[in-house]
Amino acid sequence: MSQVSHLARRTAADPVLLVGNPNVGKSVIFGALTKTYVTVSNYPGTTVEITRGRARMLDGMPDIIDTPGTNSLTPQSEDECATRDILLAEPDAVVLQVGDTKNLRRVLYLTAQLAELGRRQMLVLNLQDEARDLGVRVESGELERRLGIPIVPATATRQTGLDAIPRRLPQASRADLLCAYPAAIETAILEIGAALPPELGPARRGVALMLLAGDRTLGEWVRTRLTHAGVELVEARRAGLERALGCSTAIAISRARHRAVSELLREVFHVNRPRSGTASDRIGALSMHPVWGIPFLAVVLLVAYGFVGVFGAGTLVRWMEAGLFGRVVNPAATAIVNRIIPWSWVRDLFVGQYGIITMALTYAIAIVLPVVGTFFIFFGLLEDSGYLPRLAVMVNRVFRTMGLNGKAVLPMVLGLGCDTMATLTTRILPTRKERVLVTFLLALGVPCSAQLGVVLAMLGSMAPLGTFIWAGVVAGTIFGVGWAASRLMPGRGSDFLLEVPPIRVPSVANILIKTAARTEWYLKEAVPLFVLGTLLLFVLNAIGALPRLESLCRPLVVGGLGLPPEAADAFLVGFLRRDYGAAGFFVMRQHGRLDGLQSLVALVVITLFVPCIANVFMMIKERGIRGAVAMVGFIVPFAFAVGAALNWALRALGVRL
Amino acid sequence: MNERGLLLSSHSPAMAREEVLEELWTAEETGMTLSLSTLTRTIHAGPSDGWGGVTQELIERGWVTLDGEQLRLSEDGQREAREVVRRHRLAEVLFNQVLELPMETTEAEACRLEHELSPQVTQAVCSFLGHPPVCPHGRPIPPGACCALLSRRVPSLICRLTDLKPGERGRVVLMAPRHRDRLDQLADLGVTPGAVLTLRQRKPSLVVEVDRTLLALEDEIADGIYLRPLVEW
Repeated sequence: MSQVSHLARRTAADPVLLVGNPNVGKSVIFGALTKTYVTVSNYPGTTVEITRGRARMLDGMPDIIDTPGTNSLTPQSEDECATRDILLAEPDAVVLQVGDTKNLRRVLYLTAQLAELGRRQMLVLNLQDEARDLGVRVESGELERRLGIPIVPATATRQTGLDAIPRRLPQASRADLLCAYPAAIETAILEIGAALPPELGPARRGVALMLLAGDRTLGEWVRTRLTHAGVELVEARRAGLERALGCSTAIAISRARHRAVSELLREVFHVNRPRSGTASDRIGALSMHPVWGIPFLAVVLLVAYGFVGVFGAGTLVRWMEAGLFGRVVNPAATAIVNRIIPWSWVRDLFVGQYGIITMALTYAIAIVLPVVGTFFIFFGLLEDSGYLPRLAVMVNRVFRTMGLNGKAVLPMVLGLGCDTMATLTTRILPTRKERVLVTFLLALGVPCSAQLGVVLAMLGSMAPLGTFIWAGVVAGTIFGVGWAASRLMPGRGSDFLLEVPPIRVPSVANILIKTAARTEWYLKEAVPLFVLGTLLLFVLNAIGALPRLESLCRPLVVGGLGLPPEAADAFLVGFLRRDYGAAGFFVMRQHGRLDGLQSLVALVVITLFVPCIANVFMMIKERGIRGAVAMVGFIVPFAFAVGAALNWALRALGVRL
Repeated sequence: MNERGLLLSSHSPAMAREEVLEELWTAEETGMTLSLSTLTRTIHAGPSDGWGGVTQELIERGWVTLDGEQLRLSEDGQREAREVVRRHRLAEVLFNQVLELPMETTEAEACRLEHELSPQVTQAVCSFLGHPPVCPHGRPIPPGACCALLSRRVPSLICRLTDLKPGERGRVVLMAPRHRDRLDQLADLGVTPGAVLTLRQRKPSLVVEVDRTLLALEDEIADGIYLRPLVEW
């Protein structure tokens, strides 16, 4: 390393990298060290976007980066790839490894790889409480002596043990955990190490091993740092080793690592009593039991409906809309605006029919926010309890019909909260085909909580048959289109392989902080779009274009869907956010402008719409402009076609709602 | 099957006898009998008139009897033939289902090994494979002494993860997943030869416990994981 960075290191302001397996509490420790919040959750994927902060609790307040959970530095997913890339990009950073004490084997497997990269590190053995419950005892003193790195036992969720981190971090050093590879591999490591750029320093051994393991994700990195002869050397050595070893080099390497770790475990890892089922085990088993898992899911859904649908979308919305906005905010705003603003069109801009306060804010704050807020609380509970991966176990077979596997349930359920967030989370899926399929199905048919709340409130106002038809059409569309798309699309899906974390009792504080962070994210994301949509309607109305647009859409809206002409307004803003469109129908329904059948048709069309502009941007970012355009180009006409077909079918069958 | 070129001339007398015994066993298994002329024309080791002499020798040894035109295995002949067929089909399971060699290679190699395997090795292979009841073609594998033990509820030496019952444990001895990248991923999660797996449930998805981690797996992946069951008495 250069002289400058050496000097920088002495000021103790080297960045800190949090590295560890998934679900071991890295994010909680990040929060404790920075005193700011990041999303903490029980399944791989929510920290796909790297979180950086300033570790105010550490000397010199260094930058701290929370990396996605990884089981190995030879990555298997985009998440794990990100962690490896950060490690290579931040050669001076100190590694703060966080491990699950009861799974020490996997912790040390990662430690061995960090040692091969020559990283200075310390180790936090977290989740001591769970280890104790299982009768697991780790001699951390002995482990510390053998590895020569600071080791701190902790239970981050209870804030125990964390105070030792600032004191021990300066003692971080390279772990003394060398794996004995077959002689042929050792020779190849030296040869390849010599061909690697010298500035990699002690990391050369680790990088040489990654190259020998045939890590294709290193492609770009290799091209910029290795000569052509170097690349050929790697290929030749790897091929030679495979012949000599009779198995892939990657396997031989992982075997040697496991052997080294097993030896260490024998000395420091003890299970004092045989594993007996704890309460959390029994609940966990019940929730994915082939028979009991189904009533369990039904209860979860029922609770969700009661909390989000009845309490959030019913009680809270009533208080907020009729109470807070209807009696207080809107009358007050109207009075103030009328007093201080002389021009009637500016008054209308704020408090008119398409007013920023009376329409945009009323929708966003009074109708949508209570629903989104309650959903995020509930989703936080699901996440932190460890139920979601068990749901994946339950639905794996069903998802196979759509060319997906159980793992895809994670983004799909998150989509019920926010499709934009969920589109980002598709990165946890292993193949491109799965990522495209899930992005597409999210945009097509998974209603976000904002919209779901409004939809459920409207469905509640009609016969129960309406809810069944709506759910049936939407679910049928998702499965039908998913089935067809998975067969038309090239590429392959993947086998189901998912870690199932233990059932844990969520911490109330964590849920509240998380809900606050997500709600803030939502408000920043949604309110500007609500205002923008209202402005659009206001301008169109002011210049008299609205009636013209309505008459333009008349054949489609009135003829095809059987809706009143002003429903076109709702579809128009539905292009910005479909929950905003749904809220428009909600108001029309309240004013008796939609009967039951019309409401149902309108709801189906708006549910199948593209979620919102933000989601389209996310689709472009994740899937490219062509993919996004193709999806949107299919979804919009398709939504109207399904709506028209439903309208026709319901009328032909004489259904009354 | 003639093109495999396994001509009679390349066989030792003992091998040639075994080929005929195998041919007769296979025919009798499907309820057919063979005449000498049919045998010399259709034998899978390659048609040749020379098989006539071999058959004659078998008749002299009392392993084959003549029933008019039709050849039949005697009791002694059946005992011999049964062992040859057993070795052949076990080898097929090993090559095709465990090592995943193409059927063509499997056939050719099984034809060679059926003459080579000693009783001890045959029993070890059979135990390793978990005493499979049928060959890849679906034909029954004649059970050996080791398989009889199995029926008295002595566990097989090796089985697949999917063969375990919920609650049973096994130590991984071999991993042969369909996609090689799966191997690395499983290894990173701690599923590697030597690891002890406990099957927690089969449905709706297979869940195993390795160390203190629960993993949900597709059956296809679990099918490629071979274990030595651990029995608690």
